[in-house]
Amino acid sequence: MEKLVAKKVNFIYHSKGKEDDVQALQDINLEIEDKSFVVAIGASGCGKTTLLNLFAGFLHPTTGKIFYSSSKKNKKPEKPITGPGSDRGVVFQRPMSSSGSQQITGPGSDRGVVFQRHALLPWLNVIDNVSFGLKLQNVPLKEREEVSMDNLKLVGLEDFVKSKIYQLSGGMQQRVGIARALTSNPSTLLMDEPLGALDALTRENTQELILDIWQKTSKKVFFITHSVEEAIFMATDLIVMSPRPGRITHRFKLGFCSKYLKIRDARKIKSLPEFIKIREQILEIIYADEKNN
Amino acid sequence: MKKITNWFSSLFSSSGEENTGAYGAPGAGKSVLISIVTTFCILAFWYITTEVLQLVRPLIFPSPTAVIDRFVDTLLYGFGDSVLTTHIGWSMYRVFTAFFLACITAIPIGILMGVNRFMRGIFDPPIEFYRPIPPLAYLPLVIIWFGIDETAKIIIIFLAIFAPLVLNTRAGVRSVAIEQIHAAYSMGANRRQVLAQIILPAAMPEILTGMRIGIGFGWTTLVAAELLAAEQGLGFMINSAANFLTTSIVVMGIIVIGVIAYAFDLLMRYIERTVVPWKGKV
Repeated sequence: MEKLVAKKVNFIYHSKGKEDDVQALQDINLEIEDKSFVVAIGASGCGKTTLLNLFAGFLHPTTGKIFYSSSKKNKKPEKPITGPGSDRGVVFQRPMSSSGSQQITGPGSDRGVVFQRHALLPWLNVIDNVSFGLKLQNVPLKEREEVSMDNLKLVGLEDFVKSKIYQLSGGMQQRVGIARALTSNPSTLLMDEPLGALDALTRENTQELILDIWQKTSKKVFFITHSVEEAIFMATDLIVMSPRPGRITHRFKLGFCSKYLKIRDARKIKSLPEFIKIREQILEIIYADEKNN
Repeated sequence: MKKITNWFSSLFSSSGEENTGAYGAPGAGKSVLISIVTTFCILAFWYITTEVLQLVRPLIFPSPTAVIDRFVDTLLYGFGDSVLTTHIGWSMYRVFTAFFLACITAIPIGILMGVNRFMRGIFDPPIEFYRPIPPLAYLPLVIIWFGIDETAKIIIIFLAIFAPLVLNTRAGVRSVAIEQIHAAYSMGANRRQVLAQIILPAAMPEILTGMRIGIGFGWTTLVAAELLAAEQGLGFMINSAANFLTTSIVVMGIIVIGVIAYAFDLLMRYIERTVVPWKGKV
């Protein structure tokens, strides 16, 4: 089983003057283990999205590295499905070193990304959006539609296959985004505040949906949110980040998500005394960070 | 005073029946009926002043019936050596050839300028330099370089369409959401696929707007282009009629150009609705 690792990662946004350089991330060490649900939370400007962009391969670390690490050294990690053009290193490349670790040098279909918004393609209908990744890889139409239908069923949109994107509500659009990210069958899902623009009720429903999908597909997830409650509810591993420079200040191992998947009562879990206790603890950390700004 | 402010705020409401007042989106609702009434009023005003009251001499502005007579007359017996349909045909040939040539050059160049800083660096200065210059100013140069035949006329119209089309295409490319591009890369797309399947469709709404603006400039430049020793064309017809003070033909030619340009714009709007139905909705 392989894990996605950030090791001693620093990231600096360079600007014109040397003194204006912004250290967005400082000495980040993070392992996204197989089947784990890692949530990053922190005051704005703490580098959450930068970290996600590094995992996705949209950015490259200034120092340090991001790589897949295989825990069983004798077993070769499986190669990801790559589309045509994956031979071109600029776009996508996963060279393997002898130790069984594969460095991440660009975006790839092994890591599905769900964005906050504006990432669906309005000129395609729902199913064409979902099957877009497979089309890029020249998968035959029939297979494409089968896989996409399965994923649309997973997010409960099987009745909106031919709908236009701009006719859907915000919550449904995000579910299309999730189905699309699943379609290339990535081993990792990277979610950048996917629920940030949704109303409270839709948001809670979608949280539960994401946990269900996580359980069914047993992928590793890296999830960014601004909501402390959402973070605690969903995480198996919660990291709290602080700004200037962006760094991980606290780590928690949590189990509320697996508890939810057993008893399926989100309200009850969110009102457990231990849930409230940890919520207050984290809120205090984040408020302290905001005050120091 | 109160009445005036009420009337003013009613300009912002969507329609008379829905009582949204001044709090709705500005300019919501249909305007077709209002446009028809306006057109009718203008025609009626024209008819009454020139024909009924005869306040204006026909030389200054001819009556509608005189213009219609001229229209039928030119249609049947022609003006100069050609009938009206021939004039229309030549003008449309010139404008649409220039438009077609502009589309197949300006759209690729605009895309290149949007995605490549070298291309932007190369094309930006010449286009921005010539864009604000009126076509009549560089008309003599075009004559010296290309003579006075069709080539020169089409080049003049082409240049008028080219600049706005390049700029709109480029703006369209720059307006693509980075999330859409990132999403495609994260699904394994290569650069060619991102260009063809993300950037091009995302830029389509602005490209179509550029085409609409461009063809408008094309019609504007037509008369200037047909100043060049033309024997046919609506611009030629208007120019030579003006020399003989035949105002009715001038007005008739203006109306014909206006109607053709407007009809084409309606067609472009229809294409816009079918090709980019998501425009303004995401």
